[in-house]
Amino acid sequence: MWNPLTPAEVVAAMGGPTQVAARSRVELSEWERGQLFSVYSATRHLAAEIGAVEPHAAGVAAELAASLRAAPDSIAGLREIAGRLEGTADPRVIAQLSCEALDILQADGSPPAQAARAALRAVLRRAVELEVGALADAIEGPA
Amino acid sequence: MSDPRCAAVEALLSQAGELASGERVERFEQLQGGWSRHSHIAHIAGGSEGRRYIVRVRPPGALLDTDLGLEFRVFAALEGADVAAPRVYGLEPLADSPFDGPFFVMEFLPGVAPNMYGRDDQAMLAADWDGARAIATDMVTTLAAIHGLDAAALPDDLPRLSFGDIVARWRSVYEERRLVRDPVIEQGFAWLEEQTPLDSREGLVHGDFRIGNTLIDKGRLTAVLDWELAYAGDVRFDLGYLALERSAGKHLRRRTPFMGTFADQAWFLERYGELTGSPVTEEELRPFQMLSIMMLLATQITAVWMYANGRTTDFRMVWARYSFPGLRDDMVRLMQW
Repeated sequence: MWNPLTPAEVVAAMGGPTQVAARSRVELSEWERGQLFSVYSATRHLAAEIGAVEPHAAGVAAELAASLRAAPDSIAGLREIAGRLEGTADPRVIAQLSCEALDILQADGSPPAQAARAALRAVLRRAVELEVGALADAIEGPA
Repeated sequence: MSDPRCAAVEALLSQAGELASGERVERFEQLQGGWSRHSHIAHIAGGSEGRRYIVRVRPPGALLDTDLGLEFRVFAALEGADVAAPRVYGLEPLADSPFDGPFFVMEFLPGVAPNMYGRDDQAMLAADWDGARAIATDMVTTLAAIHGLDAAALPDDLPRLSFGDIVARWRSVYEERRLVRDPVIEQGFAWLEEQTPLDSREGLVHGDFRIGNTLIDKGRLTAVLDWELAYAGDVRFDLGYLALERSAGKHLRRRTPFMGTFADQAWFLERYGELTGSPVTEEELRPFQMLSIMMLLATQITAVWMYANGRTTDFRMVWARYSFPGLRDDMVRLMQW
C-alpha cells in the first residue's frame, strides 16, 4: 500500500519504453521487448492497486487512528498522530505516521505501550494482507 | 570494423592456453536477465564446432555494488572442490573495457537455469521430487559441500560477515535509499535485533543459493552460478534464504508446497543435517529468513531509488515496487503479528 513511487509516477515511467516501441521502425530487441513485458505486468498490478487497494487507505488510516486513541493518554504524542491519520488517505503519509507512532511506543516500552504497539501491528497486518490479497486476486487469480 | 570485445576475450583465453592456433572469437550473444551482471556467450570459430565461453560483466550502474574480481576468485577457489561450477580463465579488472566494465571469462556448461516463477519449471521440479529426486539430492549435496569447504582454500579477501554486520548492511541501504518510511520493514529490523542467533556456524555462504542460480541439464545439476554475494559467515543464511516462499516462486501467493520449488523442507533439512553432521531446525532458520527478506528488499529499494534518481531508465526498476507487498506479507507472518 505504501510502496515507493506513487501510481502517477508509475504511469509516467511507462511512457519511456512505450515511446521507444512506438517510434521503432525495426524489430524490437530482446531488451526492448522485456521492457514492454514489464510495463504490461505493471499495468495489471496498477489497475488492482488503484481499484482494489487505494480505496481502503482511508479506512486503514481510521483503524490506525482508533488503535492509537485507545492507548493511555500518558503516552505522549499518540493523540496528535491519530488526528493526522484521521485527515489522510495517502498511503505514504499513513506509513510515515505509523512509523512515528511505533517509534514512540518502542521508546516508551511500558506494558500499555507494548499493548498499543501490538494493536497497531494488527491493523498494519490487515493492511498488508488486504493489499497482497487484492493484487494476488487480480494477477494470480482467486486463492 | 572488428569488435574490440573479441580481441579482449581472445587475449584472456590465449593467456589461459584455451585458444588453439587459428581459433578466434567470432561473435557475442547477450543472455537475458541480470540486474548486477551481464552475461554474453562468446562463440569461437576456427576450431571445433560449437565451442563457447561465457563472459560475465559488471556493467556501469549495477544494482548491487559487488566486487567482480572477488567473484572471479571464488569461482577459481571452487575448482577441484566438490561443487559443480564453471572454470574461470581470466579476469579484466578495469572498468574501461570494451564491455564497459570489468569482466571475466568462464566455461560454458550445459544446462538451463529454471525459472522458479514459471509453471512449467515448477511442474518439472515437482516431477523430479515425485520421481528420482535427483535435482533435490544434487541441491542438498551441493549446499552441504559449499558449507563444508576448507576456509584455507577460499580467497583471502572474502569478507567475513557476522549476522549483525549483514543486518547493518541492509539497514543502511534502507536508511539511505528509501523513498518512504515503511513500518513493516522498520519493525522487521527491530525484530532482527532481538533474534540475533547466539551461535554461528561458520563456512562459505553462497548468499543467493536458489534453483534459479543453477544450471540443470538432463535432470541433473551441472553448475551453481552467481557467487557475487558470497561471504564467510553463518551458513544458515543459505538455508533461510532457500526456505523463503519467494525462493519457491512466490510473488504474491505461495505457488508450490516445496522448499525452493524442488524438495520437501523437512526432507531437505534432515538430509542436510546428515551430510554436514549439523542438524538444523525450521525454527532456527526464522531469523535468517528475515535477513534474507531484508537483502531482497534492499535490492528492490535500490532499484526504485536508482530510477527515481535518474540513474537508470530500466523500467524493471520501477516494477520492483511490486515486490514489496509479497515480502511484507512474509515479514508479518515471520514476526507472528
